[in-house]
Amino acid sequence: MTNKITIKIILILLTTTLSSIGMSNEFAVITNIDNKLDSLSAKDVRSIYLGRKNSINSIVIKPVQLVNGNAAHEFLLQNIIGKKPKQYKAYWTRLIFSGKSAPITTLKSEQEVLNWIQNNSNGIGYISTSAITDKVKVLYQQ
Amino acid sequence: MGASLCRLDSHKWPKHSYADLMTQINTGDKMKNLAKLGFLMCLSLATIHNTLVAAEWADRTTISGFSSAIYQQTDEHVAFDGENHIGVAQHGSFKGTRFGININSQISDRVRLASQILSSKENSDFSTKLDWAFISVSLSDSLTLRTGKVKYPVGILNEYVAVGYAYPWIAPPSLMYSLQSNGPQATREAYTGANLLWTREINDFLTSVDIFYGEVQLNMMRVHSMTGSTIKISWQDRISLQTSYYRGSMDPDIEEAHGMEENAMTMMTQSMEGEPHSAFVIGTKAEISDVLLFAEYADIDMGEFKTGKGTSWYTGGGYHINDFMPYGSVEFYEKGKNTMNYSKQYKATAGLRYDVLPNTAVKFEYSRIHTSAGSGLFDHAPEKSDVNMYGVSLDVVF
Repeated sequence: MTNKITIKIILILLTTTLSSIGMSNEFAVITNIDNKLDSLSAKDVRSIYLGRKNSINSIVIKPVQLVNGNAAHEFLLQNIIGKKPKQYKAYWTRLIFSGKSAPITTLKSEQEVLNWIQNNSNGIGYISTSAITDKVKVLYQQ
Repeated sequence: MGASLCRLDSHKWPKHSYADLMTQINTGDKMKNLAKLGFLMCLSLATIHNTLVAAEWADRTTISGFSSAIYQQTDEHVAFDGENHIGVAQHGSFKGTRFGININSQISDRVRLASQILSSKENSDFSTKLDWAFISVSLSDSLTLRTGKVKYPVGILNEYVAVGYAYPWIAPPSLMYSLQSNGPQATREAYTGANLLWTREINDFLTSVDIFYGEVQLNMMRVHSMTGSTIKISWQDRISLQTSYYRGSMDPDIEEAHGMEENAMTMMTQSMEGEPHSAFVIGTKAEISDVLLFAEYADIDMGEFKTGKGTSWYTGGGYHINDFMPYGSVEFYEKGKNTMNYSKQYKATAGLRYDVLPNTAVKFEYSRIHTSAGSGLFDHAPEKSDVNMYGVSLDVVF
């Protein structure tokens, strides 16, 4: 009896911990269905959104990002990039005004990202997994 | 572009539209009306085409901006970091107040045009200049060629030195970053030339090598045939180490030095002409959790022009507490050792940054400047060996 209660407590704690550190499926990086890219690693996604890569395997990419406050954007910053919104903003300020990179286009909603990706063959964006449609290709999912 | 569209041939138009148009035209004035019709069609097509080109251009172009409004005051009548009518003194100064516009245009998938226009308060009025502008060509996933007027890649803060929002202080540590002729001369605004930038990410390390060649125009001189490189290694974007070395040849600019006495100007010209100008700069930056740390050291050499030889360093940091960041730094600068123009100066700074909005910061700052030899960054030797400086700024990026 005591063992069963202990196992239940451990399971509850594990579930809570895993969801709190973002192991649940809630983030997907997508591209146009015609894009030649088939997958990206977490490191690739991080490099793209830190302005370090304009192309992957010699395929030119054009990323878009979501506004602060969006769940997928917060997931990206917290779990992939490892920066707080303020640090991310400061990082991009340095990058843009030193001329090292052009700013990433910011869209207001996941629907806008979906629409944009469908109209841009080299577009890369991210959304919540629940928003994925068959009109886009998933390159990375967590 | 519009003119080329006027070469459209009638046989390329849809057949029924062409026939309908033909029947509507009086046969007697056929040629005249055709000319009018052709002109209107060309005008319309040119307008539509130009609108499409403009829309496409707008889609490929981004505009960003920044501004810093600064007020600083000391308790000394001799101006600091600028001549008496420009620098900061007891009557207060808005020196450093500036506005900038940054324009990025993606010409093609691998070619980008980037530029920044900067308007800053120089004396009683603002002067506007092209801060930098270059063409960037992405040669491969890790290699980029840039040519034009490029921001000087020496010093951790220098490439974004005009953007107050990007660093903790009201102004970057002046005993390292001042561009005044009596300053350390370690770093510059921008150079005209070209650079090759190589970046590579291996595990948690990001390495970049920037090799540059060009010339820079400074106060009272020009450094030409300048060759240099900057190597940067960053670990997890948290700790970075950056080192630079450059070497060029000095060429005194007599027109810029017109304010000097003739004898002094002649002596300076003779002692600088053709001498090398080199600097070694090394620095580190750490951004771990809420802690931000900086440290930089520069060694400057100007060959036989001993007045220009010097060292400079600073160390400082800040700590994020929600929207606030208390910060502090200590700076040192020594120049012209064993010459008549020997200068030695220290500066300690404490301040508070408050991020009012995600893109707006207010800073309050106090500095104490100790001059133990010469004039340092003061216009001439100050009356007090210890000078207090107070400042407030408002920094915005958009």
